[in-house]
Amino acid sequence: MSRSPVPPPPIFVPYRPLPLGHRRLLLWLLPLLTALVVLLGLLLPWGQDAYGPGGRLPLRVLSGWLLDGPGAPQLLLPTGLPSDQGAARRVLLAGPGKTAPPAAVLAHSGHWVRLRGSLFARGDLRVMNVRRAKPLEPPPGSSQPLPGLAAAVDLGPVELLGEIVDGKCFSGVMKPGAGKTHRGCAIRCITGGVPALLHTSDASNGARDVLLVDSKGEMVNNSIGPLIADRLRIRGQLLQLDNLLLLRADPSTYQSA
Amino acid sequence: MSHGYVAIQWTRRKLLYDAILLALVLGYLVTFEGVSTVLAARAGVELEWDGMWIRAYGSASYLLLHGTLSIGPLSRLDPRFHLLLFNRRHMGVMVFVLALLHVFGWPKLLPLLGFSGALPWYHGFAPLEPWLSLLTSNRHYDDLIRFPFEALGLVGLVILFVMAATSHDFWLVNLTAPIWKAIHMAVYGAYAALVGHVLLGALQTNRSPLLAGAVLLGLAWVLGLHLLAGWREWWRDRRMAALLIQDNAGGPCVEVGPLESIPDGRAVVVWLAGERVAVFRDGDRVHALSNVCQHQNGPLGEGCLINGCVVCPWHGYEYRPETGASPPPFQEKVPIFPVTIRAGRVFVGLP
Repeated sequence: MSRSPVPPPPIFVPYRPLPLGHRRLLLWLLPLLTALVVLLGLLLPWGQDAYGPGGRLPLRVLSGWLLDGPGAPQLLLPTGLPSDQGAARRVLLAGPGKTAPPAAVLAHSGHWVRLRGSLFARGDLRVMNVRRAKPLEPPPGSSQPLPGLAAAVDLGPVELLGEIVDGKCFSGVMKPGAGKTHRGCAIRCITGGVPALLHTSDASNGARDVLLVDSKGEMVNNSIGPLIADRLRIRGQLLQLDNLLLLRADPSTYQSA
Repeated sequence: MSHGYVAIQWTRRKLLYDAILLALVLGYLVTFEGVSTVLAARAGVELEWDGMWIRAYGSASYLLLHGTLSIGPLSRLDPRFHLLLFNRRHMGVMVFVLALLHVFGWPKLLPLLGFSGALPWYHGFAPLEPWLSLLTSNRHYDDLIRFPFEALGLVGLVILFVMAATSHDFWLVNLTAPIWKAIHMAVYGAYAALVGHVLLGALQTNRSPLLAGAVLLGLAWVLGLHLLAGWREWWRDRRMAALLIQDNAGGPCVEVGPLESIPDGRAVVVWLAGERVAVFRDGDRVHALSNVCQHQNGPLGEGCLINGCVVCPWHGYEYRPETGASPPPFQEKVPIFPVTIRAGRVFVGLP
C-alpha cells in the first residue's frame, strides 16, 4: 500500500470529537467574536441621532382658554404658572395617538376649560395630549382672548429652510421625531390633526420651530402630506403669538430645497 | 440523513452553538442599551426606549446577517470554519427573529422588556392600518434619495421569513436540494434589500460617519470574502480542466496523477464533463463520486473516509464510495464514476 506524503488535517464532523485544529480555531475565534460584539455594541449607539432635547413631563392638569387656532387647537394659559411651564402661554393640543383632540374637546372652543393629560416639552414648545375637557367658569377678571391672529406680532417677511415635523413627536414623544425614518409617523400625525411645525436650523438664526399656518391663519395639515420630512424652503410672514412663532404662507408656495 | 422528522434535531453540539449565539446576541443588545442609556444621561436628555430598541434589534439582525453570509466563503477558504457551518440554519433563523422583533417589537408584559417595533411605533396609533400606512405614506418610488426604505426592509423580511420557514430538512427533502438551495440563495437578495434599507433609511436620519463607515465596511467584507472564495474556486477548476484528456474510446477522461498524490482517506477534486468529481483514495483503492452532497450540495471532496464511508464536511452525511449510496436505512445516493489505475496513475472517466 502506498502512503500519502503529507497527512492532511482531520475534518470537522458534527457527531465526532472536535479535532485539535478546530479546538485551536475556537480558542481565538470565540474571544475575537466576543470582543467584536462588545466593540460594536459600544460603538454603534454613538451613531444614533436620538439625544435631542425634549421629553415627557409628568401628567398635568391645566386650565385656560381653549382656542381652535390659529394653526392648531391650543390652550391659552393665564400668567404666573409653575416654573416648568417656562415662557409657554400657549400649549398646542393633540389627541391620543396620532390624532387631533377629540370632537368632545374641540366642542368647548372659546371657553375656559380644565384639561388633563401628558405634556411634552421642547424649548418653549409645549404639546398636550388631551382626551376630554371640563368647561369651567373663567376666573374673575379674565377676558376672552382676541381671535385668530389678531393678537400676533408681525416680525416681517422671512425665507426659512427646514423640515416639516409633527409637533407631538418632535417635542419629545420620539427621538428623533424628524428625518426620513420618521416620515411615515409624521405623515400619520399631521394628516391625523397633530400641529404641523417647520423645524429650521441655520447658522444665522439657530434652531427655530415654527407653527405653519396658511394665508388665512388656518391649519395646513391637509395640504402638505407629500412634503412632510423633506427639506423645504418657505417664504412667508413670521408672526409671534406669546411663546409661539408662526409662519404664514400659502402651502402651494412651499418649495423643495 | 434523517428518514423521520422532528421539529429540531437537537444535539449537544447544536445546543452549545445556539447558546453561544444567543449569548453573543444578548451581549450586543445589553451593551447597546447600556451605552445608549449612558449617552442620554451624559447629554442630560430623556432616552426614547422604543426607538432605541428598534435600532438595537435592527442592527443586531443586520450584523448577524453579515456573520451568516461570511460562513460560506470562510469555509471555502479555510475548511476549519465548517464547524460554524453545520448549524448555520439556526443562525439564519436568529437573523429573521431579530428582524421580526425590530418590526413588531416585544409585548409590553413586563416593564423595560417590552417595546413597540418599527411598524406599530411609526405607523400605528392612527386610524389607518399600520401595513397600509407603511406602504402608502411615502410614494417616492421614482426618487432614489426619497425612496421608501421601508419597502426594501419589507422585501428583506419576506425573504428571511421564506428562508426561515423552509429551513427544516422536511422542506429540503421535499423541495429537493437544488430547489431548496436556489430558494436559500435568495439570502443575497435579502442582503441587497437590507443594505438599501439601511442606506436609504437609518443613514439618512443618523448622518454619522461612524455608521456609514460600519455599513460600508460590512459590505466590503461580504463582497471581498465572496470574491476571494469565488476566485479560488475558479482558479482550481481552471487548473483541473487542464487535466482533461481523451480515453481510448475518445470520451472525456481525467488523469488525476499518481496514486500517491491523493492523500489516503481523502480526495482530490477534478473537473469532468462540466461537473466536479471527488476522487477518494482508500489505501490502494480509488473511488470517484460526484462532489455534490445530496443533502445541501456540500463539497464531498473536502470530506474524508470514516469507517469506509465518505463523510460530507458540512453536516456529516455519509456515502459508500463504491456505490455512492448512503448506508441503510438512509436512501441518498450520488453518482459514481469509473476509475482505472494504469502504471500507478489514476484516471477517471464517464460512466
